[in-house]
Amino acid sequence: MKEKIEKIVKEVVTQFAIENNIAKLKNPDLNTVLFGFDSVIDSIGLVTIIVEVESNLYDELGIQVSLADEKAMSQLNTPFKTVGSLTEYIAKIISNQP
Amino acid sequence: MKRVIIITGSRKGIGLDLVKYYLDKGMSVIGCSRSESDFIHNDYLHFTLDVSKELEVIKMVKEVAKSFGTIHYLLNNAGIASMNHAFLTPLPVAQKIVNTNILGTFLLCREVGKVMSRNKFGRIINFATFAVPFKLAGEAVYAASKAGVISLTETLSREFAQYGITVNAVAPPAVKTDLIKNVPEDKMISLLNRQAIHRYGTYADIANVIDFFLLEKSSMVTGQTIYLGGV
Repeated sequence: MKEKIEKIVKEVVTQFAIENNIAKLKNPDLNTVLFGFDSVIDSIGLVTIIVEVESNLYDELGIQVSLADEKAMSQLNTPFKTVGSLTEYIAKIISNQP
Repeated sequence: MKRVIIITGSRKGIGLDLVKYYLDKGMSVIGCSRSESDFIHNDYLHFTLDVSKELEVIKMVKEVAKSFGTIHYLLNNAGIASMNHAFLTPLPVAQKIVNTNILGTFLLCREVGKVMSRNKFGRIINFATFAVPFKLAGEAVYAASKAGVISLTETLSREFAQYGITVNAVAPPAVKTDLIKNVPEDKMISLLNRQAIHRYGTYADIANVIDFFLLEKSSMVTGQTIYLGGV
Protein backbone atom coordinates (compact mmCIF):
# COMPACT_ATOMS: atom_id res chain seq x y z
CA MET A 1 0.00 0.00 0.00
CA LYS A 2 2.80 2.42 0.90
CA GLU A 3 4.25 2.12 -2.60
CA LYS A 4 0.90 3.05 -4.12
CA ILE A 5 0.60 6.05 -1.82
CA GLU A 6 4.13 7.16 -2.63
CA LYS A 7 3.38 6.88 -6.35
CA ILE A 8 0.29 9.07 -5.98
CA VAL A 9 2.16 11.70 -3.95
CA LYS A 10 5.00 11.83 -6.48
CA GLU A 11 2.56 12.10 -9.41
CA VAL A 12 0.74 15.00 -7.76
CA VAL A 13 3.99 16.82 -6.95
CA THR A 14 5.23 16.30 -10.51
CA GLN A 15 1.99 17.63 -11.96
CA PHE A 16 2.12 20.63 -9.62
CA ALA A 17 5.74 21.28 -10.69
CA ILE A 18 4.80 21.17 -14.36
CA GLU A 19 1.80 23.47 -13.94
CA ASN A 20 3.81 25.97 -11.91
CA ASN A 21 7.08 25.55 -13.84
CA ILE A 22 9.18 24.53 -10.82
CA ALA A 23 12.11 22.56 -12.25
CA LYS A 24 13.39 21.49 -8.83
CA LEU A 25 10.20 19.47 -8.16
CA LYS A 26 9.74 17.74 -11.49
CA ASN A 27 11.44 14.49 -10.43
CA PRO A 28 10.52 14.18 -6.75
CA ASP A 29 11.98 11.53 -4.46
CA LEU A 30 11.26 10.73 -0.81
CA ASN A 31 13.52 13.56 0.38
CA THR A 32 11.94 16.24 -1.78
CA VAL A 33 10.93 19.10 0.52
CA LEU A 34 7.30 20.17 0.27
CA PHE A 35 7.02 22.58 3.17
CA GLY A 36 9.39 24.43 5.46
CA PHE A 37 12.26 26.88 5.18
CA ASP A 38 13.88 24.94 2.32
CA SER A 39 10.71 24.54 0.25
CA VAL A 40 9.99 26.26 -3.05
CA ILE A 41 6.26 25.71 -2.41
CA ASP A 42 4.28 28.31 -0.48
CA SER A 43 1.48 27.42 1.95
CA ILE A 44 -1.18 27.77 -0.75
CA GLY A 45 0.79 25.47 -3.01
CA LEU A 46 0.98 22.92 -0.23
CA VAL A 47 -2.79 23.12 0.28
CA THR A 48 -3.31 22.53 -3.44
CA ILE A 49 -1.04 19.46 -3.37
CA ILE A 50 -2.81 18.02 -0.31
CA VAL A 51 -6.23 18.48 -1.93
CA GLU A 52 -5.02 16.72 -5.09
CA VAL A 53 -3.47 13.86 -3.11
CA GLU A 54 -6.71 13.37 -1.15
CA SER A 55 -8.70 13.35 -4.36
CA ASN A 56 -6.38 10.91 -6.15
CA LEU A 57 -6.32 8.56 -3.15
CA TYR A 58 -10.07 8.27 -3.53
CA ASP A 59 -10.15 8.10 -7.33
CA GLU A 60 -7.33 5.56 -7.69
CA LEU A 61 -7.48 3.53 -4.48
CA GLY A 62 -11.01 4.21 -3.19
CA ILE A 63 -9.58 5.56 0.06
CA GLN A 64 -11.53 8.27 1.87
CA VAL A 65 -9.19 10.27 4.00
CA SER A 66 -8.89 13.81 5.35
CA LEU A 67 -5.29 14.98 5.61
CA ALA A 68 -6.17 17.76 8.05
CA ASP A 69 -3.61 18.06 10.82
CA GLU A 70 -3.14 20.60 13.57
CA LYS A 71 0.59 20.70 12.87
CA ALA A 72 0.13 21.11 9.11
CA MET A 73 1.58 24.61 8.99
CA SER A 74 4.24 24.08 11.67
CA GLN A 75 7.69 24.58 10.19
CA LEU A 76 9.21 22.04 12.58
CA ASN A 77 6.61 19.35 13.10
CA THR A 78 4.53 19.28 9.94
CA PRO A 79 3.85 15.81 8.56
CA PHE A 80 3.85 17.45 5.13
CA LYS A 81 7.55 18.35 5.22
CA THR A 82 8.75 15.94 2.52
CA VAL A 83 7.33 13.48 0.03
CA GLY A 84 8.52 10.73 2.37
CA SER A 85 6.94 12.15 5.54
CA LEU A 86 3.66 12.80 3.72
CA THR A 87 3.63 9.22 2.46
CA GLU A 88 4.28 7.89 5.96
CA TYR A 89 1.59 10.15 7.40
CA ILE A 90 -1.04 8.98 4.91
CA ALA A 91 -0.14 5.31 5.48
CA LYS A 92 -0.49 5.85 9.24
CA ILE A 93 -3.91 7.52 8.92
CA ILE A 94 -5.16 4.73 6.67
CA SER A 95 -3.90 2.02 9.04
CA ASN A 96 -5.74 3.72 11.92
CA GLN A 97 -9.05 3.94 10.06
CA PRO A 98 -11.83 1.62 11.30
CA MET B 1 -23.75 20.28 -18.14
CA LYS B 2 -26.18 20.64 -15.25
CA ARG B 3 -25.12 22.75 -12.30
CA VAL B 4 -24.61 20.67 -9.16
CA ILE B 5 -25.85 21.95 -5.82
CA ILE B 6 -25.67 20.46 -2.33
CA ILE B 7 -28.35 21.56 0.13
CA THR B 8 -27.98 20.35 3.70
CA GLY B 9 -30.97 19.92 5.99
CA SER B 10 -33.13 19.15 2.97
CA ARG B 11 -35.75 16.80 4.38
CA LYS B 12 -38.26 19.49 5.31
CA GLY B 13 -38.88 23.19 5.75
CA ILE B 14 -36.80 25.77 3.91
CA GLY B 15 -34.31 23.11 2.84
CA LEU B 16 -36.93 21.05 1.03
CA ASP B 17 -38.45 24.17 -0.55
CA LEU B 18 -35.00 25.11 -1.86
CA VAL B 19 -34.49 21.58 -3.22
CA LYS B 20 -37.70 21.89 -5.26
CA TYR B 21 -36.81 25.43 -6.36
CA TYR B 22 -33.38 24.47 -7.72
CA LEU B 23 -34.74 21.30 -9.33
CA ASP B 24 -37.19 23.55 -11.17
CA LYS B 25 -34.18 25.55 -12.35
CA GLY B 26 -32.73 22.41 -13.93
CA MET B 27 -29.97 21.68 -11.43
CA SER B 28 -28.77 18.34 -10.09
CA VAL B 29 -29.61 18.58 -6.41
CA ILE B 30 -28.01 16.60 -3.62
CA GLY B 31 -29.56 16.82 -0.18
CA CYS B 32 -28.89 15.39 3.23
CA SER B 33 -30.51 15.12 6.62
CA ARG B 34 -30.29 13.00 9.74
CA SER B 35 -33.52 11.20 8.84
CA GLU B 36 -34.42 9.57 5.58
CA SER B 37 -36.29 11.63 3.01
CA ASP B 38 -39.39 10.47 1.18
CA PHE B 39 -38.92 13.11 -1.53
CA ILE B 40 -38.22 11.53 -4.92
CA HIS B 41 -37.10 13.18 -8.15
CA ASN B 42 -34.91 11.99 -11.03
CA ASP B 43 -32.39 14.76 -10.41
CA TYR B 44 -32.41 14.52 -6.61
CA LEU B 45 -30.06 12.39 -4.56
CA HIS B 46 -30.45 12.16 -0.79
CA PHE B 47 -27.88 11.15 1.82
CA THR B 48 -28.83 10.28 5.38
CA LEU B 49 -26.11 11.67 7.62
CA ASP B 50 -25.23 13.95 10.48
CA VAL B 51 -23.37 17.01 9.16
CA SER B 52 -21.24 17.12 12.31
CA LYS B 53 -19.79 13.65 11.65
CA GLU B 54 -16.54 14.10 9.75
CA LEU B 55 -16.33 10.70 8.05
CA GLU B 56 -19.97 10.82 6.93
CA VAL B 57 -19.47 14.25 5.37
CA ILE B 58 -16.24 13.20 3.63
CA LYS B 59 -17.95 10.09 2.24
CA MET B 60 -20.89 12.06 0.83
CA VAL B 61 -18.76 14.78 -0.74
CA LYS B 62 -16.36 12.31 -2.35
CA GLU B 63 -19.24 10.25 -3.74
CA VAL B 64 -20.92 13.35 -5.15
CA ALA B 65 -17.67 14.63 -6.68
CA LYS B 66 -17.04 11.27 -8.31
CA SER B 67 -20.59 10.87 -9.62
CA PHE B 68 -21.15 14.43 -10.82
CA GLY B 69 -17.59 15.53 -11.66
CA THR B 70 -17.73 18.66 -9.55
CA ILE B 71 -19.88 20.69 -7.16
CA HIS B 72 -20.82 24.24 -8.09
CA TYR B 73 -22.92 25.38 -5.16
CA LEU B 74 -23.30 24.58 -1.47
CA LEU B 75 -26.16 25.74 0.76
CA ASN B 76 -25.39 25.05 4.42
CA ASN B 77 -29.00 25.12 5.54
CA ALA B 78 -28.84 22.36 8.17
CA GLY B 79 -29.28 23.82 11.62
CA ILE B 80 -30.90 23.19 14.96
CA ALA B 81 -32.19 25.47 17.66
CA SER B 82 -33.38 25.06 21.20
CA MET B 83 -35.34 27.87 22.76
CA ASN B 84 -34.70 27.86 26.45
CA HIS B 85 -33.33 30.04 29.19
CA ALA B 86 -29.56 29.60 29.59
CA PHE B 87 -30.08 28.44 33.21
CA LEU B 88 -32.17 25.56 31.91
CA THR B 89 -30.11 24.56 28.87
CA PRO B 90 -28.33 21.21 29.34
CA LEU B 91 -24.74 21.00 28.14
CA PRO B 92 -25.46 18.14 25.69
CA VAL B 93 -28.11 20.32 24.00
CA ALA B 94 -25.66 23.23 23.74
CA GLN B 95 -23.00 20.91 22.33
CA LYS B 96 -25.40 19.50 19.76
CA ILE B 97 -26.31 23.00 18.56
CA VAL B 98 -22.65 24.02 18.26
CA ASN B 99 -21.71 20.75 16.58
CA THR B 100 -24.42 20.98 13.95
CA ASN B 101 -24.49 24.71 13.31
CA ILE B 102 -20.80 25.61 13.46
CA LEU B 103 -18.85 22.40 12.99
CA GLY B 104 -21.29 20.98 10.45
CA THR B 105 -21.04 24.17 8.41
CA PHE B 106 -17.24 24.10 8.75
CA LEU B 107 -16.95 20.47 7.64
CA LEU B 108 -19.14 21.01 4.58
CA CYS B 109 -17.24 24.18 3.65
CA ARG B 110 -13.92 22.37 4.04
CA GLU B 111 -14.78 19.26 2.05
CA VAL B 112 -16.88 20.88 -0.67
CA GLY B 113 -14.39 23.76 -0.87
CA LYS B 114 -11.65 21.26 -1.76
CA VAL B 115 -13.74 19.93 -4.66
CA MET B 116 -14.61 23.45 -5.83
CA SER B 117 -10.97 24.53 -5.63
CA ARG B 118 -10.00 22.01 -8.32
CA ASN B 119 -12.47 23.70 -10.66
CA LYS B 120 -11.55 27.24 -9.61
CA PHE B 121 -15.23 28.04 -9.10
CA GLY B 122 -17.68 27.73 -6.27
CA ARG B 123 -20.44 29.47 -4.38
CA ILE B 124 -21.01 28.69 -0.71
CA ILE B 125 -23.97 30.13 1.16
CA ASN B 126 -24.24 29.68 4.90
CA PHE B 127 -27.29 30.34 7.03
CA ALA B 128 -27.22 32.99 9.74
CA THR B 129 -30.18 34.42 11.66
CA PHE B 130 -31.77 37.63 12.83
CA ALA B 131 -31.41 36.19 16.34
CA VAL B 132 -27.78 37.37 16.31
CA PRO B 133 -28.31 41.15 15.93
CA PHE B 134 -31.60 41.00 17.89
CA LYS B 135 -29.79 39.25 20.78
CA LEU B 136 -32.90 37.21 21.40
CA ALA B 137 -33.36 36.09 24.98
CA GLY B 138 -33.90 32.35 25.13
CA GLU B 139 -31.64 31.66 22.16
CA ALA B 140 -28.23 32.23 23.70
CA VAL B 141 -26.50 29.14 22.34
CA TYR B 142 -28.31 29.19 19.01
CA ALA B 143 -27.44 32.85 18.43
CA ALA B 144 -23.85 32.27 19.56
CA SER B 145 -23.52 29.36 17.13
CA LYS B 146 -24.86 31.46 14.27
CA ALA B 147 -22.53 34.33 15.20
CA GLY B 148 -19.84 31.69 14.75
CA VAL B 149 -21.23 30.88 11.32
CA ILE B 150 -21.04 34.55 10.34
CA SER B 151 -17.42 34.73 11.51
CA LEU B 152 -16.64 31.50 9.66
CA THR B 153 -18.20 32.97 6.52
CA GLU B 154 -16.08 36.11 6.73
CA THR B 155 -12.79 34.29 7.30
CA LEU B 156 -13.38 31.49 4.81
CA SER B 157 -14.20 34.09 2.17
CA ARG B 158 -10.55 35.18 2.45
CA GLU B 159 -9.10 31.68 2.53
CA PHE B 160 -11.17 30.50 -0.44
CA ALA B 161 -11.06 33.63 -2.63
CA GLN B 162 -7.94 32.56 -4.53
CA TYR B 163 -9.77 29.42 -5.67
CA GLY B 164 -12.65 31.34 -7.24
CA ILE B 165 -14.94 30.41 -4.36
CA THR B 166 -17.16 33.00 -2.72
CA VAL B 167 -18.57 32.45 0.77
CA ASN B 168 -21.59 34.44 1.90
CA ALA B 169 -24.45 34.10 4.36
CA VAL B 170 -28.14 34.77 4.27
CA ALA B 171 -29.93 35.60 7.50
CA PRO B 172 -33.61 34.77 7.12
CA PRO B 173 -36.11 36.73 9.16
CA ALA B 174 -38.72 34.88 11.17
CA VAL B 175 -40.08 32.15 8.88
CA LYS B 176 -42.93 29.82 9.80
CA THR B 177 -40.97 26.59 10.26
CA ASP B 178 -40.54 23.99 12.98
CA LEU B 179 -37.86 26.15 14.60
CA ILE B 180 -40.47 28.59 15.89
CA LYS B 181 -43.51 26.34 16.20
CA ASN B 182 -43.42 26.52 20.01
CA VAL B 183 -43.05 30.29 20.26
CA PRO B 184 -46.29 32.08 21.31
CA GLU B 185 -47.89 34.19 18.58
CA ASP B 186 -47.68 37.44 20.57
CA LYS B 187 -43.92 36.94 20.97
CA MET B 188 -43.58 36.43 17.24
CA ILE B 189 -45.58 39.58 16.47
CA SER B 190 -43.34 41.49 18.84
CA LEU B 191 -40.32 40.11 16.99
CA LEU B 192 -41.71 40.98 13.57
CA ASN B 193 -42.26 44.53 14.78
CA ARG B 194 -38.53 44.85 15.44
CA GLN B 195 -37.85 44.25 11.74
CA ALA B 196 -38.13 47.12 9.24
CA ILE B 197 -40.64 44.99 7.33
CA HIS B 198 -43.23 43.51 9.70
CA ARG B 199 -44.02 40.19 8.08
CA TYR B 200 -42.79 36.63 8.11
CA GLY B 201 -40.20 35.74 5.54
CA THR B 202 -40.83 33.06 2.93
CA TYR B 203 -38.55 30.59 1.23
CA ALA B 204 -38.89 32.75 -1.93
CA ASP B 205 -37.37 35.72 -0.07
CA ILE B 206 -34.43 33.53 0.90
CA ALA B 207 -34.06 31.99 -2.57
CA ASN B 208 -33.91 35.48 -4.05
CA VAL B 209 -30.84 36.35 -1.97
CA ILE B 210 -29.25 32.98 -2.67
CA ASP B 211 -29.81 33.45 -6.42
CA PHE B 212 -27.91 36.73 -6.20
CA PHE B 213 -24.97 35.07 -4.44
CA LEU B 214 -24.93 32.20 -6.96
CA LEU B 215 -24.66 34.42 -10.03
CA GLU B 216 -21.36 34.10 -11.92
CA LYS B 217 -21.23 37.90 -12.04
CA SER B 218 -21.42 38.02 -8.22
CA SER B 219 -17.76 36.97 -8.18
CA MET B 220 -16.81 40.13 -6.22
CA VAL B 221 -19.45 39.50 -3.56
CA THR B 222 -17.95 37.52 -0.72
CA GLY B 223 -17.75 37.50 3.07
CA GLN B 224 -21.15 39.18 3.30
CA THR B 225 -24.22 38.47 5.42
CA ILE B 226 -27.55 39.74 4.14
CA TYR B 227 -30.26 40.17 6.76
CA LEU B 228 -33.72 39.92 5.31
CA GLY B 229 -36.55 42.03 6.63
CA GLY B 230 -34.39 44.98 7.59
CA VAL B 231 -32.59 44.04 10.77
